[in-house]
Amino acid sequence: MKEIITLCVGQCGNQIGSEFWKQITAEHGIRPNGVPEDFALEGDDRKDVFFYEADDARFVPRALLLDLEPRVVNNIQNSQHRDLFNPENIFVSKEGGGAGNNWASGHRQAEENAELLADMLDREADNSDSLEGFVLTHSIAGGTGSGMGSYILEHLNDHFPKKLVSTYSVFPNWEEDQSDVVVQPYNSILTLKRLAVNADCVVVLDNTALNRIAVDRLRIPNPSVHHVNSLVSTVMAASTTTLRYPGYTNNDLVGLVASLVPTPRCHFLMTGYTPLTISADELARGDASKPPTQLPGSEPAGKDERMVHTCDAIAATRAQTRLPTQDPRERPPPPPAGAVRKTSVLDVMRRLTQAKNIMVSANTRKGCYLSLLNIIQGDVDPTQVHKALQRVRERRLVSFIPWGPATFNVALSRKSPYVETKHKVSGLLLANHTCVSQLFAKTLTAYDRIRKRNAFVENYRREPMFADSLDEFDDSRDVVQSLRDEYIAAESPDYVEWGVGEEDDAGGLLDDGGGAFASDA
Amino acid sequence: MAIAPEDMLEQLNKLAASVMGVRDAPEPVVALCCRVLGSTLATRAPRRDSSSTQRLRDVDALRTKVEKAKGARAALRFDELRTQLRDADALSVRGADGLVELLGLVSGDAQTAAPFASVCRTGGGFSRETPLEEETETPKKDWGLAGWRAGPPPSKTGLDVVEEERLLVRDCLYALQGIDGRYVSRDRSLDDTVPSVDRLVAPKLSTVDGVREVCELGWLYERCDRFCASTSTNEGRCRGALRAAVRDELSDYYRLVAVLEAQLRDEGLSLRRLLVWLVEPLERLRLLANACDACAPQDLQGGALCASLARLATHGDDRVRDLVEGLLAKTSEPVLAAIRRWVCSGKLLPDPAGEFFVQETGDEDDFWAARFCLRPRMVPAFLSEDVASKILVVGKTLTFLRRCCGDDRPAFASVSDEAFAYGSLNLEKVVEEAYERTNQRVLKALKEDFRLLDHLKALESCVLLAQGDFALQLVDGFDAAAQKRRGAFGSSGADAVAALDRAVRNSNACRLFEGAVQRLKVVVLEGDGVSFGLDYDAQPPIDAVVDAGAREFYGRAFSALRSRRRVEARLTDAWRSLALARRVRGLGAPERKALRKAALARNEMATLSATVSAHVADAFAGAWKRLDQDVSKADGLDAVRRAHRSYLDAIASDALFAPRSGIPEEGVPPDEDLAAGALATHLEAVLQAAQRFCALVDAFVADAVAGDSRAQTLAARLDDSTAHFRAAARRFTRLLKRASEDEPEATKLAFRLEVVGQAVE
Amino acid sequence: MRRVQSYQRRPPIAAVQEMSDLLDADLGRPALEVLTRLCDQGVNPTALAAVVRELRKERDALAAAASQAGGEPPRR
Repeated sequence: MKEIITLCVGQCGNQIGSEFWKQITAEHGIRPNGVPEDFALEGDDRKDVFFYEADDARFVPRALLLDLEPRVVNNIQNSQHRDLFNPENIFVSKEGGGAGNNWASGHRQAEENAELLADMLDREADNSDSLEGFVLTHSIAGGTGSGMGSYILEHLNDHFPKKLVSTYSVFPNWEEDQSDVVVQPYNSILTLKRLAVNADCVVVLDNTALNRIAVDRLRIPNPSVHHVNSLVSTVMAASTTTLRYPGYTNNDLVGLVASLVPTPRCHFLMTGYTPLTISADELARGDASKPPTQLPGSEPAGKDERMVHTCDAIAATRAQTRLPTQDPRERPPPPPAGAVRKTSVLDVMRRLTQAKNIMVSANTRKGCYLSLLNIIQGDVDPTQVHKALQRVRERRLVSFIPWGPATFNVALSRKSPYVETKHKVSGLLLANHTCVSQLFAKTLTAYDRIRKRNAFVENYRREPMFADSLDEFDDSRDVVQSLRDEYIAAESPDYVEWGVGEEDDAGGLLDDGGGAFASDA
Repeated sequence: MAIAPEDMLEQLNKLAASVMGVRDAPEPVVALCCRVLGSTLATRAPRRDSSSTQRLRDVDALRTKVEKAKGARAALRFDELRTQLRDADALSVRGADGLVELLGLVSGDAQTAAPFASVCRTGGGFSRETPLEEETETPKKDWGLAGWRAGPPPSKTGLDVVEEERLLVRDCLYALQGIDGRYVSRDRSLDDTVPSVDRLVAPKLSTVDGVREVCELGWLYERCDRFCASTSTNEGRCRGALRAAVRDELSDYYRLVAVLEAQLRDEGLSLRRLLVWLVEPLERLRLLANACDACAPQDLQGGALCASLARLATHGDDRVRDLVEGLLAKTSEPVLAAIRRWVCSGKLLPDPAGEFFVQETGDEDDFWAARFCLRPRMVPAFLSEDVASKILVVGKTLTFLRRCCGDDRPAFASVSDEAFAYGSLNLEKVVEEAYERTNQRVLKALKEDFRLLDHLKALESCVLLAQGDFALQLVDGFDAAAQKRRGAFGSSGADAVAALDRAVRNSNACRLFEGAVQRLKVVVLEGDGVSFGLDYDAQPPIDAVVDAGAREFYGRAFSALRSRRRVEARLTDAWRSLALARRVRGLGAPERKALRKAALARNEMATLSATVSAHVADAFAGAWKRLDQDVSKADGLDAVRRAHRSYLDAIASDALFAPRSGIPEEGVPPDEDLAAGALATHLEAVLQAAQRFCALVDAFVADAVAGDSRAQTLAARLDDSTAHFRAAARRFTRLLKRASEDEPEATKLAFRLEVVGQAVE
Repeated sequence: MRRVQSYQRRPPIAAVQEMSDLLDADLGRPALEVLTRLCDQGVNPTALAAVVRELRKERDALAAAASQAGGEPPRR
């Protein structure tokens, strides 16, 4: 079996990671303590991709929870799912002070614990018969998820060069007031370089878009971190269904990624999901559970990670001021998102082409698709797929790269029989679209704005990597710039020739050799 | 009907007196009446109720006669009277009808009756007043009768006339039994079957006619007797039964002859009286002899024998029909017994002569399709073709249930004998019910007890490689095993078996039902080089659906689909190599350029391959959906077989692009041209080109990373390989475009390729 | 008993007679009475017809013999 090890790094990484585990334990019929339900023993799902079976027949996630401060991990360990994870797989730095929103600090602290981390990774890898790869969940803008995550990406390239590395990376909300975490452009640029060089595939979880969707689509005026995480876990779980419920194709991570990534560097994928719903529970929990994280006297909220959830913090403040007068369960008009509509393959596939269901804060009408995969889950008549494709084609709902064929795949997948959903058919879009360059452009703009003034670089200079120079910043910026250029180039028919003619500069443009996999190795 | 003898006598007396117009009828006349009545009663088959239609026809004829003779008003009056008689309280309907029939029979008789000797005068012998000699003064040379020899010159016998008649009648009685007498003997010069009258002193024409009638009867008797005597070693039960029935008829005839002999001896018997006695038997024996002749050919057996009898039964005369039906009832008894056993318990009676229309071929390979078949000639006429084939299916199903499903219950717990009696109207109903029941049973057995659909799903998942994770591992495992075998250590297929085990264990194939997975068998395919295939040991009863032809198809489909899966895997491997190579530091610009071009070329190939594979997945899903529907609607094993056959056809045409599954229909030879589709060949070429490209990519990446100088030549070869692939892809898409004009599945694939931007010219 | 009963329910002899005339059966009333009864009792009509024919032949033979002997003409 092709096993996958999940690495949750940092506050955000652990939050979305734990949501993901909650979701898939439910989908596989595994109780929060890891014991499978009786009815789930004979299912046609593959639990062993993400879990292994302990000697006491409990299913244990192939997951490492890594953080530099204990708050989120403690929450998990106090939650219903506390017995799910292998305690040996949980790492919280002894200092517990976090990375202070500093990529360099996170990277350094990870390096200091390199031996311990390597041990954990090796142990978990040895636990697998035929490990296929790693999935990293983190945010790119904080300190731990970005810095420590970057270190781990480098480490994986180094120690598991043949294994696939895929990430679910939370991109910051550039639209919010940035006064809160001013250094997130630095952290993002530094992380993006590693994502470009050391990862094989990055699923972009765009916080801006997720918030917009929560507000616009789910009609939640003030979406909380839980609301957003519920969206994220839905997407993550859906994107792994073809691995967990093997069907005709896309049954391994490499095959899945290979079909979506035409040229190695263009590996940033956006997602879309329909129909979006949020259960009343989630709704209530999202609103109710926030105050405790903000209560005075609780553990100091690691400022370093807050930027990811800036909007949440603000929303939480709003919620605090407004909600006490209003029991969330007594919301007078039921949110339209809860309305159940008739779903079909055609309906789902058409909606997945609509910008409002796509979870990226970039204009998808500009640019084109390099590749596209629709994972349709549920009770589907396979003969409808062709009709739906025709409709999508007729309406010219999607445009493809002009320089070659682009994969447009529809994978039909089963739905977990143990999780009740309101809709018969749901669909996930995983797509490689040139509009992702807009995200890089935003990051570059934000970076350039503060880098011009060399603002806030002191914290970085304090770390060994930047002690001598800030070259790493410039180097990273170059990589991101080149990435953006490549995505833009992919929109034109000459993409095939792109970068090839520039012999002199070829190294700069094409050499991703930031990793340690040297030719003489 | 009990009629007191004295009452009868009194009635007859009265009748005779009335008809003859005398006060008291002469006693001999009454005695004659008694005998006539008695003999007709004795030799006639009892009237059946079924002859009422015949009676109606008689009445109609009578009415027409009245209308012709006396006009429409009389005919109307006839109807009125008839109704009146039928409605009369004191008269039963049968009596009324009989009376009308009787009146009809005697009507107009009075005029035609020719005067002739009375029994009163002769006391039962020939009339003295009209001695035989008187009219035979001038013997006729030709009596106008074919086959009758002119008699020798008449010679006086010197006997008196009474004695002469007695002798003649005695000879007639001999002739009735086919024995030559003094005066009546067979004319051997003409035809040894035709008796002749000779040596008769002075035959009167009427006498000769009479004797001829008697002789005909004798001749008919001989024909029947010969039929009864002709046995052969390989005689069927039906023929035996028919012979017994004929013999029964003949024994009535013997009895009559014995009675007549006794009469001749005791009280004397005139030729004329003899003829009266023989009217009925003559008619009867004529029919019987006809029947015997029709059934004489020894190759007529069983159902065929019944059929040729049944042809005689379609006769307007209900006496003919009655007689033949009687024979038919007895003749078809063995067939009915065989049907009963076959329909109720699915067992054949020993049938050395091959009389039953169900035949066991002894074919062990394909139990359901070939073990039993119909002998169309042996289907008796009273069964329609449809019922006969249903009977075949019922017994076949019962045998199948017993032999293959371990279910040896009979079709019925008990069944009435009447259903399987000749002429039963219930037979069809019983067959229909048995058909329903056994089909339901076999369907339940297949679907529920033996999990047919699970087996078919396993075949789809494993042999047709629809289970992606299984396919991936199996294809690699088999290839590795084959590779190893080519090496120095020529191992057996053990590696392949191990690979199969591993693939099952490590994929969702292990979720398939266990009985199905155990039937997967590795087979060694000896082609150019060695490779391994996958077979499915269906075993009874599943092998009735997944028969040898289907397995052969599955085998071919496995090979075709495996090469597609292999290309998919190689393309993914190539992607991995390229992704790793990009992280290598210090590659030269030419290498980087080549890597980039390779990545783009690979993407083209992968897109084509993925699109085809998505199309195949669709085709599988569609075919399965139809199969599932068809099987749930199926009303019998044959329907299930048809459903599976058309499922395979769909797989062949939609997934493999071969026009048909290539399984020969029974009796239709496979069409070689159609079985090998041009589309499939071209697609194979495209995928082969992609596979060669992938091998080159691996080599190139290895060399480039190692800094080997050969990398440059490999880069050039990569370009060639890409060009080769593109040319093949163009040829394929062009052909696809052409095929899509009339092939819906090709249209779908062409459309899909168009969607992803693969140029379809 | 049977006879009493059958006298009570007399057969419609007039109709029988008319039918007989219609069909030119040439039978007298006593003969028809007898035939009706016999038919009603289930005697085979074909056999009865044969009997009637026999009787006629006898009658005609007698008549012929009588006329030869110079007697009365045959009864029709």
